[in-house]
Parts: sequence; structure tokens; C-alpha cells
Amino acid sequence: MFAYFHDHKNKYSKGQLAPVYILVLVIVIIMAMVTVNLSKVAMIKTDTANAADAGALATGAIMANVFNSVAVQNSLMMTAYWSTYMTVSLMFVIAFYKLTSAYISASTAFADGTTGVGMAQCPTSCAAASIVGSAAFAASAAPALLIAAKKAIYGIWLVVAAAWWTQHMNYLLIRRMAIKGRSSSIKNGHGFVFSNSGIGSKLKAGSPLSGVTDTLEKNGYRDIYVDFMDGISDNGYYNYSWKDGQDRLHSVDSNVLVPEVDDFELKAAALMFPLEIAALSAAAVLVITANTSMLLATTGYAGAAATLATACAFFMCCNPSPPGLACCAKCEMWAEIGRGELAKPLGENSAALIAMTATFVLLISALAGLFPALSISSSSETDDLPYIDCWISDINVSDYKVRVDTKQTHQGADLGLWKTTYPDTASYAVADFSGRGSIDPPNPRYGSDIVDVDKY
Amino acid sequence: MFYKLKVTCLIGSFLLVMFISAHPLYSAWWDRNSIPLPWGAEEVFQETRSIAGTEFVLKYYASKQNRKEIADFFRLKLSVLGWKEEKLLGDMEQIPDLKIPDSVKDILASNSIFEKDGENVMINFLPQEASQDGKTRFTIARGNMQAKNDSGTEDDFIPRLSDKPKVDIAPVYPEAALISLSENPGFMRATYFTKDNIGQVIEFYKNGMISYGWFITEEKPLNKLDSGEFDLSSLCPGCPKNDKTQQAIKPTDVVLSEFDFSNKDGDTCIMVFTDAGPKNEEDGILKSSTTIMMQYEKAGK
Repeated sequence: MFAYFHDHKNKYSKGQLAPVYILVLVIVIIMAMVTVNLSKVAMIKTDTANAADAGALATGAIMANVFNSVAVQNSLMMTAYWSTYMTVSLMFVIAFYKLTSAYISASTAFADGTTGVGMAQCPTSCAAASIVGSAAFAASAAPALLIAAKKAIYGIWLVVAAAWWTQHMNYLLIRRMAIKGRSSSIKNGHGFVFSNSGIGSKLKAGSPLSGVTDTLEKNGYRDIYVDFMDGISDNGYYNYSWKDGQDRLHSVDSNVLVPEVDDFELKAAALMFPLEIAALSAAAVLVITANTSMLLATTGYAGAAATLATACAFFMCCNPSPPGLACCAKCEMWAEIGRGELAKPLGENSAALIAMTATFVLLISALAGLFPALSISSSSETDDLPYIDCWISDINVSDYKVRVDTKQTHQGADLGLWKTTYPDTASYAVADFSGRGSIDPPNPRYGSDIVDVDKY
Repeated sequence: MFYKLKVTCLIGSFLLVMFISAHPLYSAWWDRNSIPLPWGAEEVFQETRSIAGTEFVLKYYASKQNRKEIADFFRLKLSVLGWKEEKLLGDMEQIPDLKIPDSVKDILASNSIFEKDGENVMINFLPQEASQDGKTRFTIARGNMQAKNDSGTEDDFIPRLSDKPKVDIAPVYPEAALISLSENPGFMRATYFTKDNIGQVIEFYKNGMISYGWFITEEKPLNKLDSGEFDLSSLCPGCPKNDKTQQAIKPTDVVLSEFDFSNKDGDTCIMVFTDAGPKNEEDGILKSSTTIMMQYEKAGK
């Protein structure tokens, strides 16, 4: 063509534009090819951005749901604790009521018994017999009240033991739900990344032929891709690579970062469970001790009252003037015996009062010990066991953010004169799932929002 | 004219009776045993539980009124109906050398006990901080404590519930008492108590669960709960120093064992056995004790 123009150049008087046109045509073709190439790069970039956004939003939304569920379950756990607390405090009131009544009876008996000692002399033996009789009567009321108090304490112990386990199980279920939810969020995050990365449209339909052994070649078929999607679990990183019909390599990476949710902050009762149980056990044993003492005191007072009544009978014959010497001596003798007999019941009575006071102290500690006061950290399923869990204060997370990164790599085509290449394309998105929710006080208003994306 | 007047009178009387019936204080003017309720009090739930050998009906309420208003209401209205208030806190404060912390004083002050003809009514309030919705929670417990003072069996200390689980998923240990129960569709959590020893109870369930179609998936043998270092005597410096009480105030070992069961449908049942009871050979009540805790979950719940 150039030779023709050269040979006939003298026939043309005007400018020769054909070479220019040809040059322009070449440039246009190159530009068209570059445009096609660039648009493909742009499409890949759009796919990665969509994949990252969709993955982050899905992951964040699931995490928000997880935290909302934790908040709702925590509210139920809180209600369960307070309901038990209400029942138990009522049982404590009954124990205190019985114990106070027993204490009043025992202290009345002690006061009467002490007065009786002072009056246990012949001239006042009748009054002494009467007042020591009253002591016996007052003391006799205490054992039944103490048995009732003991039963109330045993009852408290049983309800506390049941609450300890129930609250632990509540915590365990919430903990497992949160950990399972986090796994699910990671799994779904990857799912959304791959689904939105445009892989599906690039693969061949159906399954690879039976003779195909190369993994990357097999991955070029949609059925294999579906299997891959089904097999995604809660690993942070996944990659899907395949070869297309032109033997070009393609690859998509997905990286989902979700904060761990296995470190819980718990509100626990002021006393540890074994200590609470020990306080109640000790209180029960002390009540039993007091009961035994009061039974002995009752018998002792009754015996002393009978002895003093004997002294009183002799006083009757000693009293008329002139006094009967034998009667008076016997009156003095029995009064002295009666006074001596009072020492034992008074000692038992005093021991019972001390034991009852100690029981009060232990019961007050046990009641105060059930008030939610401790903050404990639990990073396993068992490290809360020594405590009585009340509710969950928080889940210690690094932050309320999930991050999804994705990268696509596509090998270009070799067209002989022209070789297309595509740069690696990456995108990321960060979603915040804190919303306006909180775990304590329970407020299930966690929500997910994209808060950061790559700027390219 | 006369007919109209008669009808008006009839309607008027009917409305008056309805009004009186609706008013919580006068609703039972013909039955002075009913407990009046403050306006707006809603019953949340109720249970019947044995406490210290007395059967109590516990009714749980929520109200928008504050604690003082409700307490004042009961003090006023119950005294009108002949109930006498017991001065529990006042009596306890008279006990020499007994220091009651403010938190416990607050609990005792907000718990009123009333007595009439040997029967007791207790009004019990939850701390205000327990309220999630701003409502005041309170319980009315009613029972006849006096009647049981001198009688009752050894076992009547067990705070047994009168309910029974709706689902029959596991055998119940003979004579075991139900202490707590929580049920939802496909979920059941229950706690039982028995005076038999833990080894005997575990053996019963290991065999008994098989007949209910369960098999063991995990077995955690008996283990002592580590409660760390603590000194109970610090809680009770004034406790008598004899051998028996010294023994009593030693920390109690909490022994537990866990069994996880599953069945062919994939349902799960966790069973935990604990032995943490106050032991007292002389008392004869609790030589041994086991708490049986079970949690059942249907597959897919």
C-alpha cells in the first residue's frame, strides 16, 4: 500500500492523509482495548467493594443480633436471680422470725432463771419455784422455734444451691449462644463475600468431567464452588482459586475479622458459693446446738422448779410461829439444792443464747452475701463455678467492629501481539455493631452500620 | 313512672355492688380473710412452696407505686382487717452484741410480717435496683407458721414445690423433692433434692436414663469445687469456740459430678449432681444429701 502511494505520489496534489488515518485507527483500537481492559478492572474493583461491604454488613448484623439475644437472655437471667432473691429473702425473714422468737423465749427464761437463783432461799422459795417454773415454761417454747428456724435455714441452703446451678446454666447457655453466633457471623461474612464477588458468573455450569484431576481446573465448575461454600466454617480466612477455559488463573480471598466473645464480665453474689453454703451450714449446726442446750435448760429449770417447790412446801410448815425446826432446815436444804440445780440450766441457757447470737451473725452474713456485689471475669465455662452468678455485666470485646477484607486476582489473556494484565484488586469494609444496645442494663438495640471502607 | 324508678334503683344497686366488688380493699368486705391489693398491682406469677415445714402460697406482683406507698397501704389496710404487724427488726435490734448492717436492715425493714389467728402474711419487696422497668416488685406470702411449730416431719424442711414437670424425660429419684422448675417448649430445667448419698443417686441415673432412651456422651467424675482460700470465722468472730461449732464453720466441700446425655433424636440432657449439704450426724436429718439438677433441650431449640 505504501509502495502504491509512493509510485503514484505525483498524481496526488493534495496532502496524503491515509497514513494519518491508519495511525489514528491503530490508536483508536489500542484505546478501545485499554478501555475494555480498564472497565474490566473497574468491574473487578466494584465486585470486591460490593463483596467487602456485603460481608461486613452481614457479619455486623449477625453480631448485633447475637448481642441483642444476649441482652434479652441477660434480662431473663436477671429476673431469675431477683425472683430467687425474693424467695430466699422471704425464707431468711422466716428464719429470723423464728430465731428472734426463740431468742426472746430463751432470754426470758434466762432472766427468770437468774432471778430464781437470787430468790432460791428458804423464805422466798415459793416465789423462786414460781419464777423458775416460768423459766422452764419460757425455755420450753424455744426448741420448737429453733427447729423451725433450722428447717428454714436448710430450705434456704437448698434454694441457694438450686439458684447457684440454675444461674450457672443460664450463663453457660448465653455464653454458648454468643460463641456460636460469632462463628455464624464469620461463616455468613465469608458467604456474602464470595456470593458478591462475581465468582458464580465466571464458572462453568455443572460438575467437572470424571477425568479431571487438577484441583484448580475442577474449581472452575459451579458444583465444586457450591460444595466449597457449604464447607465454609468459622475460620477467619478463605480462598477460592480456579482456572477458566483459557487456562487462566483466578483467585478470590476473604478475610473476616470478628472480635472474640468468650470473655464475660459477670455480676456475682457477694459471698462465694461454698462460703455461702458454709455460712448456712454453720448457722444450722449452731441452731441445733442451741436447741440441744434449750432442751437441757428446760429440763434443768423444771427440775430446779420442782426442788424449789419442795423447799416451798417445807417453808409452809416452817413458817408458822414457832418455826418447826425440822421443816426450816429441810426448807433451807432444798432451797440450796434448788439453787445448785439452777447452775446447769442457766449455763445451757446462756450457751444457747450465745449460739443463737452467732446464728444471727452467720445468717445476716449469708443474706448480705446474696446481694449482687462482686464483679468477676469468666473466660471459660467453669471458672464462674465458685460464685453465684447474678447476671452478665458485659462481654469484654476489643471493640464492637467487624472488618472484612477481600482480594481478587485474575490472570490476563495472551492475545499474541497484545497481552492483557489485571492488577490485584482489594477492598475492605468495617461495620460497627454497637448501635444503642447494652447488656447491663439489658437493652437489645444493637445495630450494624458500615463505618469505614477503602478510599480507592 | 314507678316502674322507671324501680329499674333505676336496681341498676344503681347493681353498679354500687360492682364498684364495691372492684375496689381492692372492699372487694372482700364479706370475707375479712382476703388480702387487699394496692391499685395497679399486677400478679406476675404464683407458686406454692413449703418453707420451714409450712405451706406458703407466694404471689409475685409488680406495681407502678413506690415501695413506701405499697408498704403503707398494707400496714393501714391489714391493721383495719385485724392483722397485727410483728416488729421483727425492732426485736432483732434488742439482741445484745448483734450488729445488723444497713443493707440487711433495709431488707428487714421492707419485709413486713402480719399475724392473725395463728396465720401469717408476709409482704416482701425486691430492692429497687432490681427493677428493669421502674416497677416495684413485691411478694405476698401466706401460710400458717404457728400450726407447724410443734409438729411436722423431719423432711418438711425441704422447700418443695407443689408443681410437677410437664414433660417426662427422665426418671425421678425415689422420694426426691422438686425444688425449682423452669419450663418452655422444648426446654426443661429442674432441681431435685434427696437425702440419699451422691454415689447412690448417680448409680440410679446412670441406669435409669438408659431406659428412657438416653446414652451418656460425657461423664465428668466427682470433683471438689475449688473455692480458693477463705476464712469463714471472719464472718462470725463471736461464734462459740467449741469443737462442734469450729467444725461447723469450716468451709463445706462442694462435690459435684456432671453427666451429659443424648438420645437418638439429638435431644440433650445435662445432669449435675452436687453434695454440699450441712452435715450433722447428731441431727439425723442430713447425714447425706444430694441435689439433682437436670436440663433438657430438644434438638434444634
